[in-house]
Amino acid sequence: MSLRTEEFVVNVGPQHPSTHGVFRMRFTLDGEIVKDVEPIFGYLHRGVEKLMEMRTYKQGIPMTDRLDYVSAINNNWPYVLAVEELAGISVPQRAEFMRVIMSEMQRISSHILAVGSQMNDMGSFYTVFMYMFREREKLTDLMEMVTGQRMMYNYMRFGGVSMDFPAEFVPQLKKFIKVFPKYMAEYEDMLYDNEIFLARTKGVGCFKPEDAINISTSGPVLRSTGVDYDLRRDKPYSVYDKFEFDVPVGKNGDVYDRVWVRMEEMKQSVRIIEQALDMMPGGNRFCSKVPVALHIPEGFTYKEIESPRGMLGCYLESDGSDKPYRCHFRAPAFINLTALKTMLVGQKLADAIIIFGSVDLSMGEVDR
Amino acid sequence: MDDAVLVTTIGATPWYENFWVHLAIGAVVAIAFFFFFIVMYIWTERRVIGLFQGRLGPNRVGPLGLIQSVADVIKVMFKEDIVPDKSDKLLFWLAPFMAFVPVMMILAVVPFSENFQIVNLNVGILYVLAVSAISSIGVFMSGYAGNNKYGLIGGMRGLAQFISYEIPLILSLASLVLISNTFSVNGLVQAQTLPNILMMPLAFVVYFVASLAEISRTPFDIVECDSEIVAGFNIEYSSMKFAMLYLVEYGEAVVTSVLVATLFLGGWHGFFIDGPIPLIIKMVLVFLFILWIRATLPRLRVDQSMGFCWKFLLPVALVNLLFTAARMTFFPDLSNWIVIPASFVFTAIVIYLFAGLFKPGRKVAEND
Amino acid sequence: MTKKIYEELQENCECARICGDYAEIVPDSLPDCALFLKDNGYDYLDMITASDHIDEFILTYTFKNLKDKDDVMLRASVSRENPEIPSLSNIWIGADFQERELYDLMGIIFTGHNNLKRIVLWDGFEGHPQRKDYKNVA
Repeated sequence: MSLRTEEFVVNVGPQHPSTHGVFRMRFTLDGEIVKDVEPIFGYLHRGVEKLMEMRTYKQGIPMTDRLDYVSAINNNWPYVLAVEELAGISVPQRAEFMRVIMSEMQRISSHILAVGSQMNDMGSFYTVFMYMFREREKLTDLMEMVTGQRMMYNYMRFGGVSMDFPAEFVPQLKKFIKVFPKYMAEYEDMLYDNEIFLARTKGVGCFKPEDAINISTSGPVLRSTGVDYDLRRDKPYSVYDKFEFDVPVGKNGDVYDRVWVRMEEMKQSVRIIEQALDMMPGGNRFCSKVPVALHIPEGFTYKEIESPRGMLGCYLESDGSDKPYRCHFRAPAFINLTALKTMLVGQKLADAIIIFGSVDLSMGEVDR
Repeated sequence: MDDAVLVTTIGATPWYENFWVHLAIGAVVAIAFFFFFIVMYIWTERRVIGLFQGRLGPNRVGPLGLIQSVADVIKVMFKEDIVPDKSDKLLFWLAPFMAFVPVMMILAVVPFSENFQIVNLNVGILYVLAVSAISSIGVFMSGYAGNNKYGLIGGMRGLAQFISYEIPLILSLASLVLISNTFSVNGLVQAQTLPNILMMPLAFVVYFVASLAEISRTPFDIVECDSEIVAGFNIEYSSMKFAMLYLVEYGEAVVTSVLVATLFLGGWHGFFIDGPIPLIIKMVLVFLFILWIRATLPRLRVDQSMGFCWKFLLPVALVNLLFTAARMTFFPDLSNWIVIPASFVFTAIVIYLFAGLFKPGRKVAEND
Repeated sequence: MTKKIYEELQENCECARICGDYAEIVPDSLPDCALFLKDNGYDYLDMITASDHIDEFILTYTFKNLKDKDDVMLRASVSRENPEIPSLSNIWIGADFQERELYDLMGIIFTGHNNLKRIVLWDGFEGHPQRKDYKNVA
């Protein structure tokens, strides 16, 4: 008598403690090995692109904040860049540096959340998460000092930013930058020396560079496989060509490399913020004059920036009126999600959750 | 050996040595001890893990949040008791009891002081091992009876882990029995002129790690990992049955810490006074150590946990037993001053050698 | 000033015209153009999007050359009555979800796609919300 085994279908989500957001996966399992995975999403679809067509250009800026709510400031940027190019608005230097400083702070805080919740998925029960969130809380307080908001900042405007830095912001930021490397050393201690962490992340979810390019992944997922491409260095926008920073590139494309790339990127962000604070011109010109009812000549453009999750782009088409004709966002998390099937098939179920966490999705961006 | 407590002659005995009176008092004491310490453990866990993570634990209900557990129990009792339609009704009702009651039964042989224990069984160790195995069946039953894939996966993982880790557990206890010459628990305590942890550190390490796995605590808590399979085996339970399954985890922690304190740390022997107070202090110290491990380490994957048992813990336990037997046969009267340092050196050598044999990670790809 | 790659593209595939920094192509020649670009180093498909111009849909494709740090943009126009264009999901897996999203929201049919069903909206939804004639929006 032979034993008959069959595959069974397990549904993970949409409500689940470890899917970051409302996301559903249907695994076809054979014992513990994943044979197939089908991602199902759309639970957070709000029709942002259609809604932006009904609102003026300026009213669209808060809508972009809600796309990738974890790193909200970075979402304003490609939209604002696209409008500035079509309308021919120039940005004062001081405002450019302010944009860079806020975006890099947001990058640190987004990576803290990514690595912290990755450790959480592995079962370390919030300890590492809580330690890392101590720093994120300080960053959020600093952002609240500038923008008045803790999450949906609505900070950038066409031609600059919405308000100047208050007087107490720069000294506090400098204090934070001085102290942060010591905390980074603490996190590295907690992660890289932990035998169980290494056992669960090295060699798990390997991803080849040819596959990474074919699937159009970007950001840490692409750089962890060994492909050296970062928009800030290779196609610099704003004032990124003035800074000196490295781009961390991984070797194997496994989960460990992605965590390592994110930790190193945090250090590089600190370098950029230091240089930006030194180079920032004084004065108080933080925004060019832009008419209230902004009409933009006909045309289309596509602008991209490097957000913590990958290459975030905005395709903007205008028909001469004061509302966008078509605004589409190239969401990096949406496209990185395509890689999930390649990475997960053949792995165990317990690893599947960890690999999924390392892709670092933000459902607001995936569903738009 | 000093006076045995249990007197079974009927008739001309004083009332406090009457079998039934003794049994009644003992039962009340054991149940009170058990429940009191479960409640204290739940409170300790939440506050101490909060301290590890830089936050307060419960601090609203009562002074220092002491009455939090009572509030939780009242809340759970008022919830609706849902029984899934397709579940196996008999097993569904039976499973929590089957998981909970054997854990309490272990306290029957633990000596609380030199003269007081409920039953002075002369095969106490065998009784403990036999009874603790029953609760694992209860856990698996609860996973199976809920007719839920997550529960089934959790139950099967738990059963596999429990059965595997029983073997190193028994082997380390066997070496204890060899040096103390008795199976009864009170006899083991009385034979400890020096605590067994000094005489046999390797047996302590093996026993401690194996019992962490038995009670499904981090890093072996794949059974109930709430970030992967939601809640594991108790996913379909609500209200009082869920409370019983939840108490099983803490009950097992109480019993494990009592057993470690009794078998390895000297039981009711104390510095100035003997009796239940030193036992309680040692028990709480062991529990704090278990908590420390929970707050720090992430969890192992199920195949890594199995590999750790069969490839590392079992050979180490066998080596320990072999050397203990050799020592008792050839050098039965060695002085303590030689035995203790030699044991520590032996422990260090064995663990170092065997750790080289077992690597929990996977081999990484060639370009590392 | 047109880029060299656009001139090569015009020689090898059916290109309607080159306009500055993008090229307009005939929809049916899309796979040939894409494969030509892939063979010449532009092997990273960046973005696929579409917009509704009442009589026609205009699709925009961007490709990147990661080594030379360069971009190429192609535009194709399909009619409203018959919005069909060959799919790129057999060459680039990254096109998979983006094409499904455009089918879902705009109703453009990508022929050759092996799983063209709705992705962000639920399966029973009627209509294509991103089109300009879709009513019932706030």
